[in-house]
Amino acid sequence: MLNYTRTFEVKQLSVPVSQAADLKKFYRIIASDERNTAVLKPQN
Amino acid sequence: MTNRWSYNRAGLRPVTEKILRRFTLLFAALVCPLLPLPAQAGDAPPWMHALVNAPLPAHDEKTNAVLLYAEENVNVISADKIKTTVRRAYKVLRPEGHDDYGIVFVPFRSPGEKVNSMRAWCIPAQGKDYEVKDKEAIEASLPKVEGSELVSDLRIKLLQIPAPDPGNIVGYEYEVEEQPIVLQEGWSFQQDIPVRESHYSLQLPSGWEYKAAFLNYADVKPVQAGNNLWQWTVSDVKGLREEREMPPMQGLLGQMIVSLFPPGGPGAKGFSNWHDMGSWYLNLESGRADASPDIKQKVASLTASAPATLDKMKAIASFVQDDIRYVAIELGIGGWQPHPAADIFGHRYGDCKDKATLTSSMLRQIGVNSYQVAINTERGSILPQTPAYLGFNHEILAIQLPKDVSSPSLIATLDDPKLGKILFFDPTDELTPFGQIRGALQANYGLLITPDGGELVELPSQAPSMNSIQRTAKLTLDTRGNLQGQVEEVRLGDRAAVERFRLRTVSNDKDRIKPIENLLAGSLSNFQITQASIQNLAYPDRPFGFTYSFVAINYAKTAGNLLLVRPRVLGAKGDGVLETKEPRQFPHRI
Repeated sequence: MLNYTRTFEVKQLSVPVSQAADLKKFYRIIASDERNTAVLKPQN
Repeated sequence: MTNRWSYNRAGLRPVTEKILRRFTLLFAALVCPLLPLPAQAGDAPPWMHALVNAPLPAHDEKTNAVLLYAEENVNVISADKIKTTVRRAYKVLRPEGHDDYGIVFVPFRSPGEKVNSMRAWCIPAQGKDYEVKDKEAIEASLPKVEGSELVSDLRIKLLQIPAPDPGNIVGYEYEVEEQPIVLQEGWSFQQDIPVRESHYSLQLPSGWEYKAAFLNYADVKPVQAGNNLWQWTVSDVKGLREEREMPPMQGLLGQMIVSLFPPGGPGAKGFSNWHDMGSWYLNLESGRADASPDIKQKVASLTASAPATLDKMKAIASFVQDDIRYVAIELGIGGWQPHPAADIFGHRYGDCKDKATLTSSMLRQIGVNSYQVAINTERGSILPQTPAYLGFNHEILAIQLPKDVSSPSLIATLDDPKLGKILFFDPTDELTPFGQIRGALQANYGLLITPDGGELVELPSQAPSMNSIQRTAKLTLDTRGNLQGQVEEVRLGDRAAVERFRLRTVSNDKDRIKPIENLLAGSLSNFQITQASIQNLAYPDRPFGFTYSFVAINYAKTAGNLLLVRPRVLGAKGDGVLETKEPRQFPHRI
């Protein structure tokens, strides 16, 4: 059985320009996770 | 939900001008092909020719046009008459500038205001000048769009300029005569394109005074150019290009607001600070919330079976939200002044300020006081440092909670030093439960209007959990990679409201599941919905729910006896909004 859980919570209404790079990195991490695959092997 | 809070003829707010321009372009695209081609004769005036070799302001390769020259001369003749002449000249740089800068439009209210003259020219890069005159202009009412006024006295006069092509200079001048409702003018000198130079002059009658305040720009001192005549100039003003998820332009673009004061003060026509603006508005609404016998009777019948004050309040709130249709009829001062409560109740329609007025009238019958709050639904348009001006576009209510009214459901509250605990309520928003306010209003600044005058207050925020999607799925994968799933979604806050709004006119089941189809289509290439249902569609005070089952063929890829599966089955939160070549210029709104 595969359990997949994620939570996305917005804690501030606006991200300043100085943190734009961090936000971009964060969105990339999310996008990467969303594309990830798992390999399932039958139990023999 | 627009009311005329943001309209001011000469100082039409840039964001309103942009919206107006889009409607005008659409309108012109439909109408202009039917008009005779404009005459092509006549030299452009010397002030335009002087710009032919003028150096361009700094710009990049994506700039569609630059504003070479702008001049606005405001001549205050009396408290009831202001004449403004405007000149502008653009150089079009890219084909994309053709539509935006090939039409000049002037909004005005009719009756009361008029465009006395209007002419435009094109100085092409090669060849003779073109000219179009007044007789080639057309006048029209603005097209109706959802949420705007049904009846309005706002009209536009528009003129199509020939050959607004790259390399050409297009310009125009016009004179408009205004009958001001409020003695306040605006100079919107910053745009989405670079501005080379912009001039503003103000001529006042003897004995008059003015107060100028700059928004989003360093103060510029005027030059006194004559008797009661002042001039301001700015040059090389950077263009603010739109970015996705940026704060509202109204809160960013540089502008000057000029409040005008005749001898003896502005009286009923003006204000110089938020406190006085509150008093100005109070004067407008005086007597409007008086309850007629029919209103009193309705309140009695609505609240007869309500045991407690809070239940009575909810019954009244529900009536105004559900039984008073949103229709805006705004003529003249009607853009700011509510209709009488008796008329709103009798006709069963009104705009946001009308609904707030009727709610206030009805609440008063059960001994509950409430106060109007003017607000701009674009958070960030009005900030604590914003000088007092008509930058609001919506109106809600602040209900003074009686001491015996207390409930954990009353979230959108604020402790006011004079009024005690107040609850913010939007009578036009039937999709948000009583006791809460929608996201756009939270952490936003509104003008609380009380008998003591106006006060800019920050509306409360609600916890993130109150605006959420919770999605739980049980998914089964077979050995061939086919996926079966049962999903339950619970939505709260704006997440629920947006689905209710989307489904509000849908009556057949096939269309009701479209939101679910769209969600699945965003994540699955090959699926079939086998069962779907919606919970609490008609009950905004309860969580909104989707429950559905689906089958996705070949979801997992087989590789020998292995299965390659993407664990993230539904929903996408990754966003490429910041994946641009250019560095981010503005904060990113989440």
